[in-house]
Order: sequence, then C-alpha cells, then structure tokens
Amino acid sequence: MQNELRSDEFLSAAMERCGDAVYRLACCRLNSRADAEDVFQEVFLRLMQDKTAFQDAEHLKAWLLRVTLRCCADLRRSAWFRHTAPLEAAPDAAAPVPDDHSDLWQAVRALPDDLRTAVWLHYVEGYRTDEIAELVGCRPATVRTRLHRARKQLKLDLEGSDDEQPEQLGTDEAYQSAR
Amino acid sequence: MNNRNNWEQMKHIKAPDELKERTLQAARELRRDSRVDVPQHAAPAPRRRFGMAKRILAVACAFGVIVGGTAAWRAQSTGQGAGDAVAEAVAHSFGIVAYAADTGETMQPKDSRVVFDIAGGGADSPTKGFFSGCLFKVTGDNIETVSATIDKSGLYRIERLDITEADAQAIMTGEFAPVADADDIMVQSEPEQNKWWVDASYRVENGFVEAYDPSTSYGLWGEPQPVDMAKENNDQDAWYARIDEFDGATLTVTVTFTDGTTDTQTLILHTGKLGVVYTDDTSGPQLTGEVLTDGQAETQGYVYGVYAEIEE
Repeated sequence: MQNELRSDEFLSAAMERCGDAVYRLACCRLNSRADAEDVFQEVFLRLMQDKTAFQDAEHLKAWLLRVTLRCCADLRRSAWFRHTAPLEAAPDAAAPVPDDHSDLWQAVRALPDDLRTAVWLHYVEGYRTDEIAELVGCRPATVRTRLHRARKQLKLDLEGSDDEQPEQLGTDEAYQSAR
Repeated sequence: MNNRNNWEQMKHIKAPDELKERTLQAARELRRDSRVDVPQHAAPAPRRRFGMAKRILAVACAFGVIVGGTAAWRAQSTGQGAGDAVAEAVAHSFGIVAYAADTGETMQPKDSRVVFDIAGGGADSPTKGFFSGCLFKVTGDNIETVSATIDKSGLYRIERLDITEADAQAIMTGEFAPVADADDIMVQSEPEQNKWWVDASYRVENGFVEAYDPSTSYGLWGEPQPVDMAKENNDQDAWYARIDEFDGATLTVTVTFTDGTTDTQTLILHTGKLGVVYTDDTSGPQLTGEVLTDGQAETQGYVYGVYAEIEE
C-alpha cells in the first residue's frame, strides 16, 4: 500500500505550486480560517492517495481545486459544521481570512456561495468561464450569469451604484458575453 | 467593475508555512499507518456528481401504457361495448413516464422502447449510494398507491420543492429542515427568472408502497461503493461502470386504484448507445429515442445510458 502513496517530495512540490490557491479557495468558500485549514489538509491527503497521472501543472491544479470545492461542500453539510461555534464566539479559530483587502474581501464574503466561487475563480485564480463551469459542475452560461450578478452586487456594495461599466474582458470572455 | 489591483492583491493570501508543514506531517503519519496495516485515516471520499460539463446521458423519454390493447381485451371478455371498455380501461390503467428533471419534460416510447434521462446529472456517494438521475413518474387517474420493485440495485424517490435564494443558502449550511433527512440534494436555479428549487432524493425500499403523488418521481439507485481515487478525473468511466449495474434488471411497477383494483407493468432495463442530436451550441445532447447499433454509433451522435423494453 505504501508504494501507492505519493511521496513527500511530490506533496511538497504540489503545495508550493498550488497550495496557496487551494487555501484561498477554501477561505473563500468557508469564511473561516480553521475550516479552510482543515480542508487544505484533507485535499492534500487525498492527493497523496490519488493515482491520477497528471498531464501537467494546470491539470494538477484543476484537480486540486475541484477536490477543494467538494471538501468545502462536504464540510458545510457535515454535522460538525452545523454545530461549530459561530464566528463571533471564537474570533481566533474562526477568524476570517486576513483583512488586508477588507473592503473588497467583505463584499466578496457577502455574496452567495455560487457567485462568490465564480468571482474568486475568475478574478483571483484567472480561470475562464468554461474552465470554471468544468470545476464547479454547471453550464458556462450559468457561470457567466453568476459573474454578471456578482459584479453588479460588488459594485453596489463598494461604490454604492450598480451601474456596471463594461469590463475589460479578454477575447474569450468578451465573445461569450456578447452571445 | 474596476478593481483589478484589488483582485491582484487577493492573490497575496497565502497558506501558512505551518499549515503546509502540519499537512506533510499528517501525510507521513498516514503513510506510516499504511505500512503497519492500521485502519487508515477515514477521509470521507468525495461525493461525485456528474455535472453538466461531463454530461454523458441525454434527454428523457417516456414509456406509456398501451391503453387501446387493454380496452380490446376487456371488450372481448366482458361483452362490453368498445366505448365503455375504453373508458373502463382508462380508469384502470396507468402510465410510467420517464422524466427529465431539469426541464420537466417527458418523451413517448418508440417501438416499445424508452430511454432514460439524467438531465441534471447523477450523484455517487460512497455512503449513500448512486443516485443515477434516470427518473420516471407514474401517471393516471384514480390511483391511490404506487409500489415498485427492481431485481438489481435499487430505487429512490425525488421530491421537488420550490424555494427561495435564502433557502438555497440555508440548504448549503444544512439548516433547511424540509430536506434535512434527504439522502441527496441538488439545488438548481434559473437566475434570469429568479427561480430556485431543490430536488431531494430519498432511498426507498424494494417493494415500497406509497400514497400516489403525481409530482413525485422515482429513479434507479445503486449500492454505495468506495471511491477509486484513480478514477477521480474520469467521470465517464465511472458513469459507465455504475450504469451497467442496471443492465438486465426487471423493474415492476404496481398501482392500486381507489376502487381497490390493481395494475402492473414490467420493464426490462438495458444499457446501450442512445442516439442524440445537438440542436445548438448551448444545449446539451437531445435524445432521439433511438437505440443505436455499434455501426450506427460510428456515424451518429450517441450517449451511453439506460433504456427499457416494455413487456407486453
């Protein structure tokens, strides 16, 4: 059995390359540092036991982020999550992600889960809508709708207006938005 | 939205070095435990959902009862007029309609064959089992109860609830009581219409008897299986393997009418290549109702799925 487990070197390299993205996404989904850390560990322990022959670094990263989303969903449905003390009661353990970017972060946190995930994967991790659709298991059109709604809400929260200015989109996204 | 710099700054959120070290330590412990055959860290395997992006099966098809034949038989045996016999046959017959959960559509059988849809995709839980998304409904008048059995794998029931966006949030945090006991849930929405709903799935015992509800649908269910992490990225192979479990199964549906009489339909399930067409770039494959031969499948679009032969 041991021979089938990935090595420390592999896990270290994966964490160096993709660990921050895994942690950021877990924070985004769970709004709790402690829960995000639990998910981080769970994701890489699953990687250790996984047998996928990853084609390249992007393939590995996409796998990790998909597993992260699933682990977050599992955690949120678990009895443990339902009975975890609320954020106010355990400020340290359940502290939200660092507040260096508090205005935007607070606005992102206020979004519904599906919008927040789409926004995070697009703007922070740089995924296209079709790639996000693949990661979260929905249609690309659904992702575009979620991004549109999220942008409007973020603009309202941050600037007090929901007049959405045309975004500087890449060729792919501009084409998709125009459909 | 003009926050490019702020988004860039979000990337500065880093996993603490201590967390990475702690994770490596946990990995070493797990590796050590595996050497001494100690039960491994019981990490719950992810519940695999076959999403639209990896959709394999296509649109629903319905299989309806042959009412006309029943009426003729009854006219011969009772001496009734044909019109009276038809009316009686309708009152004591029922349909089994395969159902597409995402569109609410059904399709008529073709050549006594019907094909199942998974529409919104199936879900495979290592603890709760395989909720295939191959769904059917019972239709008819004066039905009091419904009962069904299958001689391979099992069945489940889906109840659909209309909800609000706030309810959807509560569901994701496990705080929505109406679906708290569900074995699987799928929240769906049409954001453009501000419509939200949840499909709650419940495993049912073979041979169950339930009060009839025309809005309830039933599906093909498979036993829980450990997740093979090697197949984590290969949903298609995983889907094929689970779907093949239904091949050769006999599904028997019995209804009891309000007057105490009963009626039964039997369907033999098979797996195969179901013909599809693609109507546009944004829609998924649409079932044609045809079951293709291998030769036809080389030149026509298909998805691998479940179909049924209606026993006469």
